[in-house]
Amino acid sequence: MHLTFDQHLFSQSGLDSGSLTLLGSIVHSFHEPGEYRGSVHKVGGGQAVFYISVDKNSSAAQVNIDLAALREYAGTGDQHCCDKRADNHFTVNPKGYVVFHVSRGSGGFDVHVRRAVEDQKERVFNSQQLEAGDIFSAVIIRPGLYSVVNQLERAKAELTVTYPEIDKVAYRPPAPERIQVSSKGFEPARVELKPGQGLVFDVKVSARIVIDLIKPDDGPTHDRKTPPRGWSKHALPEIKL
Amino acid sequence: MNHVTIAASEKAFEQLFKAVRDNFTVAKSDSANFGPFSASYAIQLHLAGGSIQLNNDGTIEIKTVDVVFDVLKVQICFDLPGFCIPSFCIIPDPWNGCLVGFPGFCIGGPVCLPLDLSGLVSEINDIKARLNPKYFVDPGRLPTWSDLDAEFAGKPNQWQIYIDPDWVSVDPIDIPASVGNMVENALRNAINNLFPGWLPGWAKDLIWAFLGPLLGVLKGVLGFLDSFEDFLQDLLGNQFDILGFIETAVADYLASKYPIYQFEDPYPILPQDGLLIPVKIPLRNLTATVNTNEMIVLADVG
Repeated sequence: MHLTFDQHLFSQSGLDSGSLTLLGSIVHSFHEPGEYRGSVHKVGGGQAVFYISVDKNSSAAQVNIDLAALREYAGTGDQHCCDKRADNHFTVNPKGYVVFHVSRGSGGFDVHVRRAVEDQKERVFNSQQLEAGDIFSAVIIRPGLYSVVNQLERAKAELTVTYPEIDKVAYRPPAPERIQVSSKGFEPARVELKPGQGLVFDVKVSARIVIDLIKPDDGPTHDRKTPPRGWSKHALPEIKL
Repeated sequence: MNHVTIAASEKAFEQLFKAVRDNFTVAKSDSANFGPFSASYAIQLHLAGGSIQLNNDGTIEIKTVDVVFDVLKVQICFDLPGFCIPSFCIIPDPWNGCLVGFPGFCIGGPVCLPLDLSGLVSEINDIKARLNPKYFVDPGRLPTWSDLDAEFAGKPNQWQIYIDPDWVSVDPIDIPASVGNMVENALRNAINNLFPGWLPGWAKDLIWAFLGPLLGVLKGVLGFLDSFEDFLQDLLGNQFDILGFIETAVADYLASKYPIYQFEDPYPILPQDGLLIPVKIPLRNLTATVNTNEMIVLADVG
């Protein structure tokens, strides 16, 4: 018996919109209909290719692309090479959204998308440089103090994730907080979150958002709050005969 | 007019019944899948106590016999919902709730909760029965043997008088309220044992917070509304039909496994004495009944 924990969920405390891991995702909308070709790169090697058809006739308002689940291939990137193309082919409406996320593993993915046929050198989307209209969503579960930086604009913010409280009812994170990322920086620039609460960055300027743990919060004590168990000896009252 | 009449007072009948009762023991184990969870059990039980009433209509009423579970072990297994990062809305849709959402995910795993309830007591609240004599031919007896051969071989025919129940009714197993604490502790231990060694303390606290009160987790997984003891009582008594099994086992035992009284046929009048062979008389048309005072066995010689 074992719990199916993904260790990376608890070992990766920071997030980077340019290097997606388990707890981050990017939302992008391809407004122009057409065929798109995307490539996913992983830190330390590995590449996968996927295709997106942006089709006015599609009813899909949202398509989730799990970067960890895309089938890797070691080819040159030739768009016509792959019999695996069908596995990595997605369709979405031009008014819809594509969500890039990571469902398992260590992550560290960045995504580049260009037109599949015409203007092949023109990048339409680069996850390492988000543009106005993109959204970066993050979930942070490790309690502590974090710095939030837009590496492309040198803007900074501060983020606090509070320590979980074991209560009489099961804990459920509140609704996500939103932060505007503009030329003025982050707004608000100071945010307090509950663990597991979502944080949504609305990008209005070129951005690569990096969240780093500055000071971990390990709780009031290191003793776990689960009720104590076991037998312990208690002194009996003295009886005088 | 019968040739032979044998009688046993009510007190003597009670003593005979005690011997029958004390010889009873039964064991069973089973397992089943109930969709969201699976369960298994093992029981072994004996009977104790009880009161007997003999009636003029020939019936015997046996009440308040304790069913003592020497072994009552239950194991319930299910997939722990575990720790979930819930989905949330990234781009709200003013007309339809949510346009784009964060794909939430859960981590969990299978856990099994062993519960040892050995020592619990239920009760046979009522047995209504009549006496039923049966003629027993020892299966070891050879067809060519005479009654004397069978006597010398220690395999004589017998008249056996059984308590033949019309019905047996067993009360539901009285599961104490403390079993709720027992199962919470079992679940807590199971989860603690499942935590990998590398899991940091803050993550354990977060998981405990997400899980909330463990009885609530059990309610969600096992699908009961009120108390765990009621759930367990229903699981054992109705789903596994342990009560039905006990009722059947007791009825079968009394009716055919252990006679309340038995004697040889032909019945020995004088034992063997030197060269003289034993004197025995054959009994026919044997009947057995009770009245408020005694058990009466009647038979003819012939």
